[in-house]
Amino acid sequence: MHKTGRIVFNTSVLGASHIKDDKPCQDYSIAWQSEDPDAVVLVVCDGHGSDTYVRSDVGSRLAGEITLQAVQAFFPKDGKDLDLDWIIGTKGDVTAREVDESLRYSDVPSKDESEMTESEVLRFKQRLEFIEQIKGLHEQDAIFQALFSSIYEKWLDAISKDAEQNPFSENELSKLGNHKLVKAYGTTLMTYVQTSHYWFAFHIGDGRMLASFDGAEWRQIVPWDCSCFQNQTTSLCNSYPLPYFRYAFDGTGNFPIAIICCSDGIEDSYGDYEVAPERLQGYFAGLTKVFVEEGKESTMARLEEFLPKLSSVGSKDDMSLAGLIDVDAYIAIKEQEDVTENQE
Amino acid sequence: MATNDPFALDAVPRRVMPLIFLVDTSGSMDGAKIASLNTAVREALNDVGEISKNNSDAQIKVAVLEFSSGIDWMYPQPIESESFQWQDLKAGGLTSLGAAYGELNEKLSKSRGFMAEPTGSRAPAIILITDGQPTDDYKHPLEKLKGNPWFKAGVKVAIAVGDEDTNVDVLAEFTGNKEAVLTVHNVDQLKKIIKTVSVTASQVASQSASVGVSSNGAPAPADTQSQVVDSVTNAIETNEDLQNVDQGDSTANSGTDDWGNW
Repeated sequence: MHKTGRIVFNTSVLGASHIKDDKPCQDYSIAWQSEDPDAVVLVVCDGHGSDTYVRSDVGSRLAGEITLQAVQAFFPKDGKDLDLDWIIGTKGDVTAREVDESLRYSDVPSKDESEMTESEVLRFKQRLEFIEQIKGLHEQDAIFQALFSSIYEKWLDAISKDAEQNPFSENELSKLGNHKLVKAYGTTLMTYVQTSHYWFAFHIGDGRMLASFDGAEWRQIVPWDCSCFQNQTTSLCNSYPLPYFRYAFDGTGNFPIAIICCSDGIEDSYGDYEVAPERLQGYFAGLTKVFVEEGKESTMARLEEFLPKLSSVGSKDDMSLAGLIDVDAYIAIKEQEDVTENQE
Repeated sequence: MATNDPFALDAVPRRVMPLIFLVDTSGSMDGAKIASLNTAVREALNDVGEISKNNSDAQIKVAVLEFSSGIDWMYPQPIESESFQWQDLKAGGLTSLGAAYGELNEKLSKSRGFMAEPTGSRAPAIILITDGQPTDDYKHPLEKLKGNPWFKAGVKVAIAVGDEDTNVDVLAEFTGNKEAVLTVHNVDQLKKIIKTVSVTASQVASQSASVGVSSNGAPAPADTQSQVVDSVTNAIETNEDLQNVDQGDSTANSGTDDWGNW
């Protein structure tokens, strides 16, 4: 095994259906690390694929770039430490919240559960989870809400600028129809940020972000949003997207050994995560192992060759991955497992 | 946790798209209507089986719920369209459409029904075929069904068998729009429209592209339902055999019902 400290990677590959329909890659991914290699940012954005979203490739790229810039405010600059009291020693995870503020903190259902539709039951359960999760996190929540709001506002400005600088063609306007301009740029956004003191992650829309803290089990760190269902997803192009941002953070020193974010093009190629999560988890576990055993360069080369084939036989969609693997921690755990196995 | 070969392509599964027929087998369907329906669906399923076999995106599984005085699934679970054996339906009894809606709602669920496919499920295509008006309370079960996310995301088409007793408005409540309600007036049209709708719905619903949802969860633009309706509309306009099918509010062929040749 190559003991290289840490592997940070990303790739975005054009999907088979997009090749067929002559569409650009609408995914965008980033794996960034600071010169002081303690800071890492992973971003995966998935621009919507339907014809209406005529500039979702631009929307996803802008969302990624703006987010990378925005989260850098959380890193020390010019040798100055930031105030970390809000996160050190704390942790939490918060799902999407009700758009209707009058309902957001109500734990009383509007009607008897037996009278509710399946969607209403799911949303009510999610609301109860939110109420429980947000308890005691008001300071952190305010910080995250300010971050999401800043990203969204800057993204709106950037897409307006793009529309001004590159006026929509007749063809684009006809595909956009009566929808607002923002729809043309519709995209999801998934981000993981890690420094030597803490990590946080946030997500709007679909795709999956799974982490392993022990080298064996993989789990979602940001709670799911029941509004993301099948090929319908929450998005920066929602008329009021901020409530749909969900997040997680941990300043207790508990860092993942590996974390991988993927767009739904990859997720959908491995079945239904809710029914059979072991498929995607097994894929991520296998990929992590290959990265550690073969090194980044070789594994990336294999991925570049493999992902178009996966798209072709799987979801047909664009495919993005962004990940961080703590190689030293992974090897230490595997060596420990070997010792334990030998003792048994 | 199993560690898979991350470069193996044989592990990549096809999703499952359920094609669900809700078939009215009340007494008024007896005779030519039910006989031609049996023939038409059996023939259409051959084509659907071919689509499924050649579709690398999704496998199509078929389920049939008949409703009359009660409700009954032809098989307890959806079956691969390539191997589906249609059992001839017989007609008799009332039109318990509300009971059918309630049962459909139960089955459109991962925890209780048809949608817990490990390879993943696509939203279903649902085809309602009826010649009459509900004889039970259908409004309440339909309201619950409309809140089912699988139903909302699915393709819904209703075929009204004749215009004597059917009500386009009632069927449009199920489909969500009148353009997805198609009224046929004779055996030939019934057979052809069943085939057209089954094949079109199977083709469109087994593909997908990501779309955003509106803040209130309303259907997204350019959804599969619209694509199916557009395709069926196009078929009606261009296929001579279908030109006397009435779509939505159209009454152009009203009064031409002929079910007496069988």
